[in-house]
Amino acid sequence: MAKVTVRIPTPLRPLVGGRAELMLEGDSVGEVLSELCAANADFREQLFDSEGQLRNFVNIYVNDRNVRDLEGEQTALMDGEQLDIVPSIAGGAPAGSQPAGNGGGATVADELTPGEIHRYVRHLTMPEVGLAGQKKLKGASVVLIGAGGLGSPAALYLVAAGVGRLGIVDHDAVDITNLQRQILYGTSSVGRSKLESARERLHDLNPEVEVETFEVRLTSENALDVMGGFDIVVDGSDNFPTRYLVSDASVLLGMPSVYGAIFRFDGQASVFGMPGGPCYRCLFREPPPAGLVPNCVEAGVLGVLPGIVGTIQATETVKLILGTGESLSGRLLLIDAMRMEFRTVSIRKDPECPACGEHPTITELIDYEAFCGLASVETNGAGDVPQIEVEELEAALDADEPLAILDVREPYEWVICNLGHRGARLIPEGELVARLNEIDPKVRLVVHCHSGGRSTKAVEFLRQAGYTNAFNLRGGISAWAKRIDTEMATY
Amino acid sequence: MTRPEQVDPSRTASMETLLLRGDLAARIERILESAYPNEGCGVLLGNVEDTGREVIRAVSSKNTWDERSDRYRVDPELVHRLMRAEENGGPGIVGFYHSHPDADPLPSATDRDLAWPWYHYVIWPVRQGVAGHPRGWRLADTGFVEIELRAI
Repeated sequence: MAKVTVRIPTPLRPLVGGRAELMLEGDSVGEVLSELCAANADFREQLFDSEGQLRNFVNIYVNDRNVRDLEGEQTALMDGEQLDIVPSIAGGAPAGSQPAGNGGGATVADELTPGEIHRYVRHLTMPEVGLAGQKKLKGASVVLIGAGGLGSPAALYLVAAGVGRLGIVDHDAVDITNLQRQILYGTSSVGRSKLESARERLHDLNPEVEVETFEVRLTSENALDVMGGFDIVVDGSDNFPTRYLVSDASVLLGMPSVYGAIFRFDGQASVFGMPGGPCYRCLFREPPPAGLVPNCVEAGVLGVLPGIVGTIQATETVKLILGTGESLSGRLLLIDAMRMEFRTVSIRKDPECPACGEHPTITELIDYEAFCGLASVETNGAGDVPQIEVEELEAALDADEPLAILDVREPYEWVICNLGHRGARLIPEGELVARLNEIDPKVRLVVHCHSGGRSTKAVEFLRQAGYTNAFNLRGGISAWAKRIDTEMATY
Repeated sequence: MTRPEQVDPSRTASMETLLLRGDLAARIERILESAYPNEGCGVLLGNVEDTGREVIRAVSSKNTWDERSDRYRVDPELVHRLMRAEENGGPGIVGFYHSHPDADPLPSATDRDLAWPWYHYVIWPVRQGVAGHPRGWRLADTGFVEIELRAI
């Protein structure tokens, strides 16, 4: 007989000595429930009616699927599966309290008002959406991770389409460099909280939609709480730790996640976490070494590209809600905007996947910064590459100490802002090897880039090349602009 | 400090007090007003402490009762997902809320028939589309008992 874990909801725990889960045996849902009730008459009364039928306000889930959608009590169980008892919470208003003419008939909460029918008329005329589809949209909830380049078009289209509830997670303020692609915001939003600004714009677009904002960084501590309250997650994040976090959390919660990513002229999109479909870890088991893939700040991004990918994410989300068409689950869409080519490659669920495979090892959320090597770079950086803070650099310059400042960014970045007036000179990282002879090894050398990534690598290289006086400026010119010269242009 | 000799465990503060932040209550009220004249519903997530239960998040649900308009059923998929979240370290479900359009915030016969023990049920009256003062309830052996709903 199969050994399964049975999760007990809080109200029934007193009946089993306060325990949250039990290990029971049985080859079908019915057998396991019989075993559970055999020793406990109170339990039987909670779950079954006097004719021995499972009460309709009890739901049983096996591996995230309601057994009503499977074979009911006959649903077969395998070793190691989990059976969740989920109370159905229901009730009603006192009899006779309803306004006249509002009784009986169709589904309740998701009825459309005359105003909504007018607003969504272009949807209602489509056979693939229609009234039934529009009600599904109204009844659906979606949470968006990141209100940036991908999140902007995704939020706008989901709200315009009439998704009932949209959650948005972000903790940034609008920066002028965002406006080249983040179409949720305008010039008047610069400096304001992204979420505050987004809420206003989205409310103006469609006041029928409930927008719930989470002004936090998504972390292992809050991800399940934030994401758990929604049907679908749209990943609009721009970094690997968050992507793995969103994917793992969606697997733990049994909810689909709609993935998108961009790099200069290239884009990717897929749908993860569908029953039988792969997750992000099936596709990329491990993150690339930290620092290997430049982020948007370093590499830049074509402004319209997130517009393409974010709208594809919104399209996939709407299809999932409508339950129509073929989703990108099991396929990775690759977009090459330079050649304007769209192609898909097949991706399979990996049975060995540590998150969604047959024997998952990731059963709770982990430290994703460490997993992606970011924490270790920070420590190694501090250990192996000597650093100085921007305040120390300023003090040394003010005291006229002998030192040279080396800027390893690209010329276009130098144009935006630089420390030339404090004696800095530019040698882009890629030219460093060829132009080593321009650097005096005897003088103390402070190396900087935008935020510290490229300069750390440069200092590592310089030290190996014998420049033992080389130091990394922690936080780069970005830290200088924040803490020393707040008038400086930033990007 | 003196304590009563015997305390009915079902009557201690932790069972009978629900702390609800003003901003959360206001958000719930907006949602229930927009559901009017139908019933709206949702889930209350939070912590169970000695001093009471505290709601830290309210999640609105679609109403999945299909047959008639004066009933509510919280989306079971949502409840399942929130239970999974709790199992994996998220906050627990401490109760549920729903509205009584143009009626008092007292449990109806249907509420009683379908209620589960332990959970706190908070009912908001919504009259002519405007939410009034909510009241909280918990199912005990003898029927519903009122809990203290404390705004913070």
